Amino acid sequence: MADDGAFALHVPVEYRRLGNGLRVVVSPDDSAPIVAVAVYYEVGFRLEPRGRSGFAHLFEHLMFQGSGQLAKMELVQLVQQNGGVLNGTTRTDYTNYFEVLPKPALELALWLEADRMRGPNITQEELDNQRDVVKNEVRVNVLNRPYGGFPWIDMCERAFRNWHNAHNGYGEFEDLDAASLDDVWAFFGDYYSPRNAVVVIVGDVEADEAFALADRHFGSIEGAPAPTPPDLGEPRQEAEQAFTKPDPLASQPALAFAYHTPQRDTPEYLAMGVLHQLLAGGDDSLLHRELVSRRGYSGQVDAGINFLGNMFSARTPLLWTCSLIHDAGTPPETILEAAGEVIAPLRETAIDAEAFELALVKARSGLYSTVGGGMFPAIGRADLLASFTLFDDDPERVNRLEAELSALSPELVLETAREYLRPEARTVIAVEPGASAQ
Amino acid sequence: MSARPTAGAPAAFRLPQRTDLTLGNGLRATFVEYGVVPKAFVQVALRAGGLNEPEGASGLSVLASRYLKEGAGDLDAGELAERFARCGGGLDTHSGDDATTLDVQVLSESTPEALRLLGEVVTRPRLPENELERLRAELLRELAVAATEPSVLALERFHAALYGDHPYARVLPSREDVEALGIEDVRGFVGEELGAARAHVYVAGRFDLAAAEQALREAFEGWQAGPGPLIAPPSPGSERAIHLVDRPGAGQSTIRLGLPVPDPSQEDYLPLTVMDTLLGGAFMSRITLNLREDKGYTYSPRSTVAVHYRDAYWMHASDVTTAHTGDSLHEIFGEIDRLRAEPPPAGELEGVQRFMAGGMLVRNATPAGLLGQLGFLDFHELGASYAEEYVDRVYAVTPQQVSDLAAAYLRPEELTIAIAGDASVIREQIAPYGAITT
Repeated sequence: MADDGAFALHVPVEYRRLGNGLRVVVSPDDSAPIVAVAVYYEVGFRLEPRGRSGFAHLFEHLMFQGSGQLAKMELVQLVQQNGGVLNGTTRTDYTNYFEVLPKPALELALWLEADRMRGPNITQEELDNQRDVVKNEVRVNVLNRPYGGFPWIDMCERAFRNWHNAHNGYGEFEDLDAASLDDVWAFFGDYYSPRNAVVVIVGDVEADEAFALADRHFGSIEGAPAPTPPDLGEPRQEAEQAFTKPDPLASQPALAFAYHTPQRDTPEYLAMGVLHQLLAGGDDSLLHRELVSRRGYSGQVDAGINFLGNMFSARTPLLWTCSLIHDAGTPPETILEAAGEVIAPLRETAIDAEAFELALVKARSGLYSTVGGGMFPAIGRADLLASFTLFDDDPERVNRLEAELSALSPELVLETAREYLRPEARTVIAVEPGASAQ
Repeated sequence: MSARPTAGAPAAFRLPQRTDLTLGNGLRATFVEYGVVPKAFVQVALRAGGLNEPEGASGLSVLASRYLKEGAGDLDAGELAERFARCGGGLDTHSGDDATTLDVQVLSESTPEALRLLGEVVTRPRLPENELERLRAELLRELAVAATEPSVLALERFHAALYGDHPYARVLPSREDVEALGIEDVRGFVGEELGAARAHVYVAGRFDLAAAEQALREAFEGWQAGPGPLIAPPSPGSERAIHLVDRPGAGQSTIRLGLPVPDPSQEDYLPLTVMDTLLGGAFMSRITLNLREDKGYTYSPRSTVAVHYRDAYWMHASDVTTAHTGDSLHEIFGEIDRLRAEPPPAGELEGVQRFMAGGMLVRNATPAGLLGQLGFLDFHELGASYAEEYVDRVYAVTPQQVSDLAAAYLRPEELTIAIAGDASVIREQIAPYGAITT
């Protein structure tokens, strides 16, 4: 890539739709002799049926248990035995399956993913086994540790009114217990169609070759039309709400507060990203300076727009949430008051040009880190391309984001703060520890 | 549906070109231009950590590393944070058992400025006394949180059993020690332990090499050399016994099980990692297939060879359903015994070897991965040849050798077992596997 004396981000993007509706995005990069294949299905926690909380995630596990030409775990073995790494995740608005492998294994990876796109081959025994595995996942990440589910499960349950947004995506155990093979086939039929999926290929491959291989292996898969999504709308929050959560495993109190974000396809949404940078983007941010450096309430302020990803990898409604662990000697009210005093001026006058520019630098640098990050090499880039395709039908947007950010103004940031950082729109959760501090 | 494609051999692994230099004060530096994302990863890696703390001053290296963010030269802490933010990054400092690192990821064009700032931080740290109480309180708060994490509780007992009186026995500093730390301790540690002769600066990603090299020379040449690394490897031991931490009501038992093994400077280390990958270190490994995919006892069983300088241990880790704690130990020991008794099928080993060969390409396909690889080679004084010969050496391991390594090093009669779980439920289950100490 030529520099022309300046360092710029340019992500190659080639985008096509196959005859069966499957969207394919290719982004060549010959930095290393590897390729990443990422298959995204547009179904996450929000779309799972009532009474089946946690089902989207359980289903993700089942997609490793075998399909038409693959025995249980054979996909995992074939990827790893050919030098690759793999994983799958379930988020609010998608479930993804991805592998990064040495370049000669590209066609194999596409064949494997096409085989499971045609449908899992699941026995009752495999369902029972993965139900146990998932329950152990919930235990290790939520139930058997301090601050489990705080704030990512707790805040959604409290701040949202619409069940699709509010419910626990890891699932209630009774719902997991109720899941049946019939549910598996119904869920597959509703959501695992080529029309409801995006395949992203990143790495050391020519675009034409990648499209030809994708068409060869996925092109003949038939599937149902893309489903109609439910209404995910939330009412405007008109009154502040505050909750406590006893945590018998925690020894220190903790506090989280959240505000609803603007809609994804608006300039205000990007302005909310700028507000995040101003308030909590690093050690020089307003909240860090006040709550950590000046007052010493905590060592760290954690904040973000999407608990399980970044602000581009989910649909809205979302929450901007800030959380910290503090000492018993500092009442939550004191911290909330201090945070309120930091936020209030942002709703009164527009920030100066210097602060605005610094927030944009952080946002731009954060975007680059997202493109270069991810669980494995190339996966951060694949995730952004898949997200912009799923949610905006526009993978090229990755290359326009810098311009979109530059087009914002301090005035828009002010307007956004006035509407979305209203004190009445805040939801607060205070963790009350039940374990003895040593 | 088509026949399953086969994948050809992966490309041979080659380390990207590195530019090395050594300054007059002994500081070493390495630059690697890599990738397409316009950011640079800059790290100052210092060979000093918990190992270098005086008796009764545990936690000093962590406190000192945090203190490095509290201003340097003409900049107070807030100004320093803002200057890094203008580079597109934030300074992270971390101190472990035998290493302290300063990390920042910055926009490419800001690489020289980031190096200048890092130079200020290490050569002219302010270490203001008025921040002592806050930083100490922050550390104590984190200790209180860590001491409620089951993974930490089990690991503490595991380390204590292996390392006896050596500083590596401590996973967490003692509260009493931290409470007694003073500003003179911090200034002494920074002044005496963190010098150029122990430091290696890495820059990886996209940046202007000439400008970065010049900035590095100017920023770091004035750093006092200080002493060379403290070489004080432990003499770890292990006895078959169960170290039990009672967590009444715990839904899972947190198991950490292992013993000392050869370190990276020894001939058997690399073959041992092949054995480990086959036994428990990968998704397709034997213990994972058994404990998770067959029995459903756990979500994330894993094993690893953990290393210090001239020290290493093998450890299995899993969080298992309380009711199946004894069953899990039965399966883990069963898999160890089986590998000790019988060489694995050649095909199984070959799959592991291909996984590790491909992993070398995948792991090193990001600036962060390269930093980790180069840091590992340099820290353990392995030389570039270790990386270049890695794949050939992996493939040279035979099935018989894998079994012999398991027989030689995974001696069941010496395995240390640490468990954090509900003693009233699991005591009887685990009693057959060793004498229990609480």
